[in-house]
Amino acid sequence: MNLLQLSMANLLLSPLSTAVNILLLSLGTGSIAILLIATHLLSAALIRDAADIDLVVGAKGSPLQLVLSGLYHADIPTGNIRLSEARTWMEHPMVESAIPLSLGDSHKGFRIVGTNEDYVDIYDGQLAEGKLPSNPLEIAIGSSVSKATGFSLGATFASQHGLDGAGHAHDEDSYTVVGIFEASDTVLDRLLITTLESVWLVHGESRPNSETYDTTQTNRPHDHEDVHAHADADAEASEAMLDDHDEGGHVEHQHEDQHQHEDESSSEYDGDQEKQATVHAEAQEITVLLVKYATPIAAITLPRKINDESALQAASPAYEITRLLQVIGIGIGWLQAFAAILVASAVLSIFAALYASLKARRNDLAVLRCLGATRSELFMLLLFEGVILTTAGIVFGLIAAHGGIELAAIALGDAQNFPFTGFVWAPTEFVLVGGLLAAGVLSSLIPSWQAFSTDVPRTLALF
Amino acid sequence: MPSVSNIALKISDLAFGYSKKPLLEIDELQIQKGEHLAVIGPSGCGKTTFMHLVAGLLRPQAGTIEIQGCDITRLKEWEMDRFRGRSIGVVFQRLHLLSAISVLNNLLLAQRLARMTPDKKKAMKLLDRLGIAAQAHSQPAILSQGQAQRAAIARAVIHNPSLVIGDEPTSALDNASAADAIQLIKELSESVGFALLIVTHDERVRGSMDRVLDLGGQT
Repeated sequence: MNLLQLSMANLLLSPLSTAVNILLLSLGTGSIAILLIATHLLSAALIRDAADIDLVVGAKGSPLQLVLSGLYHADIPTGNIRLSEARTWMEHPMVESAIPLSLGDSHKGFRIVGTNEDYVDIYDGQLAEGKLPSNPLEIAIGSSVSKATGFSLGATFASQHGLDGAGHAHDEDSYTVVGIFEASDTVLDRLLITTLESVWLVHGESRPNSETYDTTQTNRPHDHEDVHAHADADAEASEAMLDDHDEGGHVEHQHEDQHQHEDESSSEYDGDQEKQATVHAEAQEITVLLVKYATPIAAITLPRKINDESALQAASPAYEITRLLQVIGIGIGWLQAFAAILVASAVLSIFAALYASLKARRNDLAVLRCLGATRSELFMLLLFEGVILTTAGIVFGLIAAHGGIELAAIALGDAQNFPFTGFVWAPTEFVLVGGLLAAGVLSSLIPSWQAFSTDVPRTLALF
Repeated sequence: MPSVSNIALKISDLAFGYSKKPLLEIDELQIQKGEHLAVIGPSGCGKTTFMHLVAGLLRPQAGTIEIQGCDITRLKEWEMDRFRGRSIGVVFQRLHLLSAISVLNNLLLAQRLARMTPDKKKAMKLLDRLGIAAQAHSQPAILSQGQAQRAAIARAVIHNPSLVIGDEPTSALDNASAADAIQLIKELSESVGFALLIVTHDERVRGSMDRVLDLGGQT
C-alpha cells in the first residue's frame, strides 16, 4: 500500500462521482480527438494524393471541383476538353510533364481512369500481380477495388456510364483485369486504371484501326512527330465533328452524343479512312491534364496564360486545397470550441470533486500526518487523484475516438472518397493530451495545496 | 537514576501557550521504556495540547522534548513527520482508520509511512493476536467499535514505535471493550517495549497506569 494506491482507493470510495467525472472528460477528449484525427487524415490524404501535381487543367467551371474530381476523384468532373487543345499545353516549354486523364465511367462506385503509365508512377504504384494495361480494354485495379469486387486476373466486367453507379452499362465492350495493384494508401487503391484508348473505344471515339494520339508522351522531343502529323489534319472536318459535342458540358451528357456519333460515323468507315482517322484523333477528348511545372516561374504565368488564352481552366491544387481546408477549418474551429467547453466543464468538475472530497477527508489527511506522512506527500496524494481522473478521462476519450473512427471506417467500407482508419495518431493529439494533463494538474492544485496546508492539531480537535 | 538508553521520553522546561500567558508548563518529565503514564486534568488544562507537543504536531515556545534521545523540537517539520512515522504510534479518540482501505492496508500503509518495507505476514500475525484476523480484508466501516479499536491499536504499534500516545482511546467504548483495549495495549507495550502515554478522563484507565501526570495540579 502506497500513496498512489491510496489515491486510487480514495477515488473508488465514491465510484459514481468518479465515473461521472471520467465520463465527462472522456466526452470532451473524445470529441476533440475525433476532430483532430479527421483533420489529420484529411490533410494527409490531400497531400498524399496531390502527388506533387502543380496544376490541374480541365474544362471551365469551379476550380475546386476541377481539383477534387481530377486529382482526388472526389467530385464530378467539370466536363471534357479536346485532346487537341490540351496538347498545346502538354507541349508548352513551362511544362515538365502532363498526364492526361479521361474520366466518366465507373464500376460498383469505383472510378475508371483512362490514362498512361506516368499516372501510376506518380503514386509509386506497384503491381501485386499481372501487368499494366497496354491493349484495348485491358484494365488494372486498385487494392480496394480488388477487395470490394473480388476480381482476380482475367475477370471481365462492363463499365457503367457515370460516376454514381446509376448510369447504363457499356455491355458491348467488357474490360479484362490484367493487373492488380498493391495497396499504396493513395487514391490509386480505389481506381481502375486503363488506357485512354480503351475509354475512347468504350465511348466510340476510337476504334483499334484509327490513328490516335500517343498518350504516353509528356513533353519529350521524340514524341513530337506524332503530334505534328495530327497538326496537318483537315481542320474543317475536325470542326464539323466536334460541333456535335457539348464541349463545356458534363462528361456524362457528352457520352450519349459520342454513342450517337459512333453509329452515324460507322457507315462512313469504308470511305476516306485516312481522313476519318484524323477526324477521330481530333475529336478525342480527355477530362483533365495533371501538370508538373518545368520551372518555378511557371507557377505565376502558366495558370494565368491557360485561363486567359484558352477555353480551358487551370487550377492549382495547393491553392484550392488550402482554400478548402480554410473553409472546413472554420467549421472545425466551432466544433473544437464546443468540445473545449466540454473539456473545461470536465476539468471544473474534477476540481469540484476533489475539493468536495478534500473537505470530507480532512480528518484522514490529519491522521496520515500523524502516521508520518509529510505535507508534500499529502499534496501528492490529492494531485495523484486529479491526475488519475484526468488520465482515465483522456485514455477512455482517446479509445472512444479512435475506436469510433475505426468502426465507422469498417462500416463505410472501401468505397469512400477519403478512406480513413482509427489506427492513426495525429501529432496534434500530443498537444491535446499534454494540454488536458496540464488542465487536470491545474484543477488539482488548489485541493492539493489545501491538503498540504492541513492544520493537524486543529483538524484532530474537530473530529 | 535510570540509564539514558532506557528513557523513552524526556521533557525539560517545556512551555507552550497560544498567547503570552503559557497554557502548559512542565519543568521535568521522564518516562521509561515500557512505562505507562496517564495524563489527566480538567478540560482546558492542556491535555490534548500536551499530546500534540509530544507527537511533534506543535512546537513549544521553550524547553526540549526528547524521544529516544532525539530532541524533536530541533527537527525540521519534514524530519519530524518522518521521525513520528518511525518512532511514535498514535491511537485516537474516534479511532480514525482510513475508510478507503482495508484494515490490513491501514497497517501496511503505517509501515510504509514508517519507511519500513510493508510486512504482510507481521501485520496478519498482529491482527491474529488481537483477534481480528478475520476482519483483515474488511473495510473499517463494517467493523464493530471494539474491532475498530483493536485495529487502531494494531496500526499504532505495527512499526515497533518507542512511544505510543493515546488520546482518550476508550471514551467511545463500553466498559468491557474499554478494559479489553487497555489490557491489550499494555500487553503489547510489555512485549514490544514501547512507553505508553494516555490522555484520559477515564478513571478505569487512570487506575491501570503506572504513573499519573495531572496537568491541572502538575503532579
